Amino acid sequence: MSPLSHRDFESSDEKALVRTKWDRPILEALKEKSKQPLTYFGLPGPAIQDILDWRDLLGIVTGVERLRKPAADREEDLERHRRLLNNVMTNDIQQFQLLRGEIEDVILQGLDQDNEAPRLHRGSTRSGMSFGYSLVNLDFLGGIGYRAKKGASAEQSKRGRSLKKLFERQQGTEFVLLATFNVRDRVGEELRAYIQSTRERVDEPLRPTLDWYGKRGPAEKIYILKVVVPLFIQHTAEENMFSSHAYPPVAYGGTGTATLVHFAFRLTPQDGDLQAFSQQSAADLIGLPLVCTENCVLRVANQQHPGFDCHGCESVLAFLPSDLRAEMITHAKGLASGTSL
Amino acid sequence: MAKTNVAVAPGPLTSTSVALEDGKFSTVPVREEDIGAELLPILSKGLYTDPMHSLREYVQNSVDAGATQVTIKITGNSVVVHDNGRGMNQAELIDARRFGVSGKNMLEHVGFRGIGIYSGFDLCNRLLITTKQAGETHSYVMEFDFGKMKTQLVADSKAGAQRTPLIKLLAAHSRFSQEPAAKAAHATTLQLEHISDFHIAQLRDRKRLKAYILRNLPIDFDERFEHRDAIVARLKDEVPGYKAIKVILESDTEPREVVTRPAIPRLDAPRMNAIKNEAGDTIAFYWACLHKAGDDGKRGKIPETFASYRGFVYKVKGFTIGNNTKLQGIFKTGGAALYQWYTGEIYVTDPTVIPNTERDDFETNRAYESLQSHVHITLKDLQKKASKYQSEERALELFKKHEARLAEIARGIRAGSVPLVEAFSELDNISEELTRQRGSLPTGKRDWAKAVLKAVDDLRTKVRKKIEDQPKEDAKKKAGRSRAAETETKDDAEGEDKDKENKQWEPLTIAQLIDDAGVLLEEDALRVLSIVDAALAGVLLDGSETHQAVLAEIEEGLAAEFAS
Repeated sequence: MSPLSHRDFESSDEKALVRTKWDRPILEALKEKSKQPLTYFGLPGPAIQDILDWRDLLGIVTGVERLRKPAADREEDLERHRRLLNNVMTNDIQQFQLLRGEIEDVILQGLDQDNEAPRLHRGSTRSGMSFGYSLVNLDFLGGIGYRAKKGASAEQSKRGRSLKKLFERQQGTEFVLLATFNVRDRVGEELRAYIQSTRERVDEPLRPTLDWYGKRGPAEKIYILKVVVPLFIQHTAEENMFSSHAYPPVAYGGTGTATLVHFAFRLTPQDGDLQAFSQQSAADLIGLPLVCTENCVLRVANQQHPGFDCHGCESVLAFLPSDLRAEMITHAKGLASGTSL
Repeated sequence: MAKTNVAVAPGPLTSTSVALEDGKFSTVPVREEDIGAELLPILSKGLYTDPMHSLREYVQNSVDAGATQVTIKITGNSVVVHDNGRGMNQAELIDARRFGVSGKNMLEHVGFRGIGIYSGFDLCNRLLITTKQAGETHSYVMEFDFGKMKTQLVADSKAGAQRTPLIKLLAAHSRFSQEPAAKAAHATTLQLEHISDFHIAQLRDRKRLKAYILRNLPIDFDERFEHRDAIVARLKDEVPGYKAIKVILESDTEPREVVTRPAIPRLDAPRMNAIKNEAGDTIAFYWACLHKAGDDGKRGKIPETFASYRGFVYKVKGFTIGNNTKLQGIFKTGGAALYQWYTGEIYVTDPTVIPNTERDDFETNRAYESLQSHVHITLKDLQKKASKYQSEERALELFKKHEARLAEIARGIRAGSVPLVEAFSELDNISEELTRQRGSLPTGKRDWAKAVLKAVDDLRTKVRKKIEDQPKEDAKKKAGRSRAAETETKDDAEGEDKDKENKQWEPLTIAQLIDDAGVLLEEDALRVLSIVDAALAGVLLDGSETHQAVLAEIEEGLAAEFAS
């Protein structure tokens, strides 16, 4: 069964809001630190809106677009490539490289369907090749995981494997990871199982909160993603000698009726051989507020987990421009006083 | 009168398909199936053997569309050519598909044969053109599926297979679409997709690609080129259809590069003029710049970095024909040396002078012969100008060199370290050489040269006077020494008789010294020597210290030379 349609993910006002108001300050901070243009690896889409919105921050760009085999799908994909390249040329985006294939495969194999490697790579072997991008943008156009074959028991999620491989390939390079997941996925109970296993490893005070997340039904899948993804990313990052800083997840509608959760992480390489250690604890990650878009405005979501303390928002939103941060905190405090949280 | 449009029965022809009349000619319509699709690869492979030729064709189209900038991007196995030309509306894009039909004007446009769009047939499997014209609300897209066309042709080639007509092949595997776009925008993006590894590797060779582009496309001058504006202004006036573009190269593995003709430094203001035939018609227009001598000491040759721009090339509508060695033989005197002092171009404007297919020469005809003879005259004239420049340089160098030497000689004379006779001889030679070279100097240097020459002559005069006055000086000195000797003798008279005896001069001659040295001379030589002896005794005063010193010197020299 093929991954979800790209149509669910075309540019929307909410997506534009997230790019320009939420992601941009994160990217600006990294560029300020590194003192050079950011290098992009990811899924720009034919409209290349993210590249256009961030073009003053970017240098080399490697964009990946799939090219499926079935005739009808292939035609659709080729048309996307045409539009993408036309937009690149029309907007004079310099140093753009197009790789063809599923991004998971490019990460896992190190090469695209035409055996082209990402421009910023070191080494030549598929397993040993490393990447050196400072921005990885994964709008995964689907859930956090899907299996290659429906019902396959031992087949690990390709998406999950590629996320792990990504960290391996990016070792030594400080980067921002942006990822957006659709609540529809096929890893199903695995996410709940992840919450359960985390529950067993955390301190007692956190367990009721995790229980709450674990009990969210299909209509509230965003909460499950909201809690699992930062924990998963931190764990994977630390295994690959990165400390991870997670920003609050942002839920928004996208186009159509899809519901999406956007994540942003800053991964910083650490010396050593065993494991890195992040500053955020499990409690910090679990306690992150869920942010949402509401009438094209960023807001702390009305519904948070029980015991959520909006006073902590001041520090977790510190990366935002002061006016936006103040507005969000004021709104969050207003909600708190009204006891809807 | 021939009967026209005799009907043809459908299906394969038989001997009765066409109703001809005895003894009368009739025209018979050409049917769709009479023009086979095989024509497409025949033309494409025949004319465009190098993938770069295809690129050239597409960039030609950009030039014809008024583009000033073209970007050529190689990513993966695709090539994208994007220009800022006027773009096409829907009708023009559909018309662009026509085979062998073009709305372009041969005099104004570079491409006019109506097949260039198919130049990528052998190169790629898919050609896409997205184009937007200012004022239109949509971009229009045309897709050629060359891959499917090639598959069809392979199927057709099997024995017994029905051949696909060209029209059907093109119709079946080309499509059009549109998409909304900003009204004011205008551009065309052409994408060649799924190019073979072999061809992509050739196109990725940046050095080769750049050299090809500079050679074969009408590339603009670098904006920093000092004489760009002057040359371009004249070219626009004098060369119908003159156009020049900036080409940008991009790829996945190399940095972005703007291809322009380089700004060669230290060039004289350009010489520019029309070249006319006997009838007074302009057949070409040229510009030429001489390279000024630089600080590196090389006189006039265009630096090695710009070696490919030395000399002259022919251009037709901005495209180079042949290379810069083609016209080198015209500069015969001084060989290729002076040719390499120049950089320039000859734009052929006579439309009857036609480049050959390979673009390395022209088709042989009267018009080309006439062009050659008039270009010969022009280049010979330019050679003379370079020679004059060379002579001026040589003369200037000489004067500078001798000016410095003059100062050295003057210092040497004052210090007494330079023999006067030698100095006089050298100054004489310098004066003669400078007098010969004075006429070659640039006008602006003549006054200075006159002053240098006068200084040489003045010093030469002084030295000659010194030489002439030298014996009187010596005599004065001797007289001074004799009076001192007499006084001394009176004071020491009693005790110094024996010393005085020892100091008495025994007259010697050179002839005797030579004889003492054992050298045999003939009688004539001995007679010459006696004359020299008498002169020495007379000038230096017989027995004087100087006279004795000279003889002692000769004696010593003879001993050294003829010692047994």
